[in-house]
Amino acid sequence: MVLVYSENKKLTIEMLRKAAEIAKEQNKKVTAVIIGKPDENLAKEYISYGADQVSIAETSLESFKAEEYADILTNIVKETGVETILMGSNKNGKELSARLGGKLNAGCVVDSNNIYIKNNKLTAERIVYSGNAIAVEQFNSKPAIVTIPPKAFDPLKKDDSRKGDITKKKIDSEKSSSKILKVQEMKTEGTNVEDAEIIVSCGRGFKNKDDIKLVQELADILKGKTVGCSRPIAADLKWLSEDHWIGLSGHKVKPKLYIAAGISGQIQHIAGMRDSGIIVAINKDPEALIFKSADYGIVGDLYEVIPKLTNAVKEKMG
Amino acid sequence: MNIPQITYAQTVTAEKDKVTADRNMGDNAVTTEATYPVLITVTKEINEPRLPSLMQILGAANKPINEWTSDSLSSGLKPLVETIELKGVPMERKNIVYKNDIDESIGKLVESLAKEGVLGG
Repeated sequence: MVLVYSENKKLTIEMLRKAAEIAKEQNKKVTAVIIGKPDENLAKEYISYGADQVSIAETSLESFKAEEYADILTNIVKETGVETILMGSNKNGKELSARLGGKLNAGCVVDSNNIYIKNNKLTAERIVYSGNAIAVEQFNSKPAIVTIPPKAFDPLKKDDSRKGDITKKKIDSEKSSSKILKVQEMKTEGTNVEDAEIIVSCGRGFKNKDDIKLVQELADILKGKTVGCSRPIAADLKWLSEDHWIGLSGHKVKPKLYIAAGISGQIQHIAGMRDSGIIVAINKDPEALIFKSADYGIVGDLYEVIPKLTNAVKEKMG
Repeated sequence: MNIPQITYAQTVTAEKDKVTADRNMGDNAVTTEATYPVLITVTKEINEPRLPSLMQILGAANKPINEWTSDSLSSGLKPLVETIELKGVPMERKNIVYKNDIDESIGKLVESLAKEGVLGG
């Protein structure tokens, strides 16, 4: 059996497609797991996206806790003989997968963007060395745990005629000796770079926080309206919130047009935007690494290039 | 070991019989408390390393270093996951770079982008 779990619905739906492919090859079934409140509508939706069954584990826990969730999943895995576990590669999922791997003595590959069966073994590919290489890993353990980042797979087409079983079970998980005191929403500007079709990104080439409005103007003129940035802008200078951050440790994006202004093109940034459709680079250093990863580049001062480019695009688009 | 875990900690406050940590979970900041023993993983923001003084650098040579071998810690390690291959990352881009007059470059770029069909609309 192939088990799919993430508290993130979109990610679960994306993983269901891959789970269905693997399950078909092995003549197995796909189970999606919901932990928390019993939400039958969600369960039905998972079935319409490819799950053969949905297990709802009802708990009284108010928010995600890796210790308790790992206990719950361990029970489900042991009861149902799961061989492959796919989990969402967000912060919760990674934390959970490591603990679950420890409990089940199972191998765990984190952040895999491609999985398949080779020589009868589950095989997972993941990016290593800051984005310079792809490691192909094969599992010797059963179950095998893989975490999948957002956008790695396209979801199946929703089909309401698909049938599946929904099982509900109340689980009183053992309380661990840690407890959550407070959950506070982080300050973000609600930007979702992962879904954006056009992204204009800024990097260390910008001298002041206020200058980022140049990027915003260009983004506004283009239909995308989304601003991204490299690590220094979000993590070190904190000029933009982390939801703008694109890179290995930030968000991974694949818009159809990606414009990188004042970004040097360190491999960690490239790893976050490599799959974009067309990549445009603006940098005053003709030797900047970013040009090697770009389809089109302009060598010049971004303070001159961006306003002119904004005007030119405005004219072109009418 | 079935002990509690606290991940992505940005700040850690240790008290006599418990530890409190603020965790950066992306959308949320979560404050978690746990008793000992506890496993904590921290993020880069946790601390700035201090520079050692000359005396500390000299003193470091005399500090004990404990070494263990993998055999003494466990009997026979078998990998659960094996790396069978390491591949390069394919990156094929057009690499057209306009270096000359900026106005001309921008004109050409906008033309190209329009041809690629990525200028919205």
